[in-house]
Amino acid sequence: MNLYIGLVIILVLIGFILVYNYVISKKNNVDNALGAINAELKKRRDLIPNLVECVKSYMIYEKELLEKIVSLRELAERSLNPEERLQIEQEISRILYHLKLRFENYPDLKASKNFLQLQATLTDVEESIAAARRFYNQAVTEYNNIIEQIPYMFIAKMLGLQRKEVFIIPEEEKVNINLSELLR
Amino acid sequence: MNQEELNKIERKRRTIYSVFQTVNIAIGILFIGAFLFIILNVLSPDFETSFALPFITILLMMILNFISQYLKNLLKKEISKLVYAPAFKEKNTEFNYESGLTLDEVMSSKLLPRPDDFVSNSLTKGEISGFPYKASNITLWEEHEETDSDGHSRTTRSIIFDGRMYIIETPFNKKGIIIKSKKAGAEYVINKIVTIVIAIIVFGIFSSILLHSLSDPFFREDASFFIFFIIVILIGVVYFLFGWKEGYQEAKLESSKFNEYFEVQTQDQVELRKTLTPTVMEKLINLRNIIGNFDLSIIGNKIFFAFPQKISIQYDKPIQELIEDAKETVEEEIETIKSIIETLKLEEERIKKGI
Repeated sequence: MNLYIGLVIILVLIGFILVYNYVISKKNNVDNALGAINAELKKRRDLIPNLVECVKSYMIYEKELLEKIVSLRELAERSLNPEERLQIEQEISRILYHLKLRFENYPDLKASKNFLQLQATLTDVEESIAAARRFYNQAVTEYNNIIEQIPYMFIAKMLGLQRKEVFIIPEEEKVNINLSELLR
Repeated sequence: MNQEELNKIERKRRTIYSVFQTVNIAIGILFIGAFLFIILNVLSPDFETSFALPFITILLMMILNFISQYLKNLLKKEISKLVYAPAFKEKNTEFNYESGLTLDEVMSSKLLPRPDDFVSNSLTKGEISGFPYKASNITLWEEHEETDSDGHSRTTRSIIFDGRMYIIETPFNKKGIIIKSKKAGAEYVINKIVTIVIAIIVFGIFSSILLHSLSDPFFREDASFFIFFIIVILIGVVYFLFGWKEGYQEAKLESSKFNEYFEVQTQDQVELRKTLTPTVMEKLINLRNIIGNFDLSIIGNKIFFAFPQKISIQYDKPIQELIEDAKETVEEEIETIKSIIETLKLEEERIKKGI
């Protein structure tokens, strides 16, 4: 009889370990995905000084916009609050979007090889940001599903895990920018 | 190969097919004879006949079956050579029946497990959408040792993969992405049901053996050892079943349809999503619906495609028909590859040009 009880306890213990590890892996996946977004956003912030340096001599009338993006970048670098940094990054995205729309007004700029290279790099980074966001949203969806399912919800409650929000794409980024049209 | 040689092989095919049919009919007659003999003996014990008859019948069936297998393989190589050459020559590619992809090249795709035996032939080299490629027919086997009740062991072979693999070289350099077709639709549901039923049966058998063992004093003395041993085996089985490649993680994407059709593994989740955009996923789903199962992997600067064989060399079809089937299949495969490469290239160019 003791043997059967022992066996049941071992099986319950193994089950608990498997469920616990699964919940933790989903939680860590979300953190990993958030880390991926932050890494790509950092790459974008690092491009901004080069971009501003490249365009400022051409885009004389956009001085205010360029100064704003530089100051936002510095603010993002200094900020320790993740939510605040996210807000700042969204503002940077908005300004970059407006800046891209105005590139069209400067044909000399569009002819610059340096600028074209920078733009290609910037686009590549923005595609990486979009991909990282997709990864994050997928990770969060799986995590939210897990913490609301039996038996994972018991472990989740024990660890104090809460639902997370998926990343919502800002309105400006939902519009597909056709840069070939803009650069014509 | 000219028309005269083609006609010569076609005549040989027809002869072998007639002999093959005759042999099969003979096997059928012998089988029915042996069956009737057994029935008559069961129903009428007075039925008198020699008991050597069923043994002679079985021996004859074995000999005829051996002849049938020999005939199958006799012309297979010659026909196989004939069937694929025109399909690739039409596309101005190099074709060499005797050569094929090496095992290392096939293994570098990470699409197939290492086999016990490997054959490749019909090597072709050319360009698809401006990218150099090479391809060949490949067949991979695994061997199993089986021991019968008398303790005699014999080796049986089963096919892991029989089809064609294409390797395309690109200017891109990507971290590993492996995309394998899953069974979908009704096939998927049936597969799931069968897996669940097998799992329940295995679990039931295992549990009853375990519980029965625990009531045996011999096992109970060393119960903790046996339980530990069983747990280790279980962990090993689970690890083996999942069998993820080292350095690769499973990935699920936003499209439930895509996840239903394909199983994806990757070394970099962000890189994966840069490559598998919604456009590319849509393309892969459509292609899967049109041409059926295929697997693809992107490792470094190479893209690997594996298409299961759709043409089997049977003697009941004229060779010209087989040639037409092969042309159609090869055309379908190359169009699929072109379609996928162009989608990926467009995405890459779009990123680079900022379009």
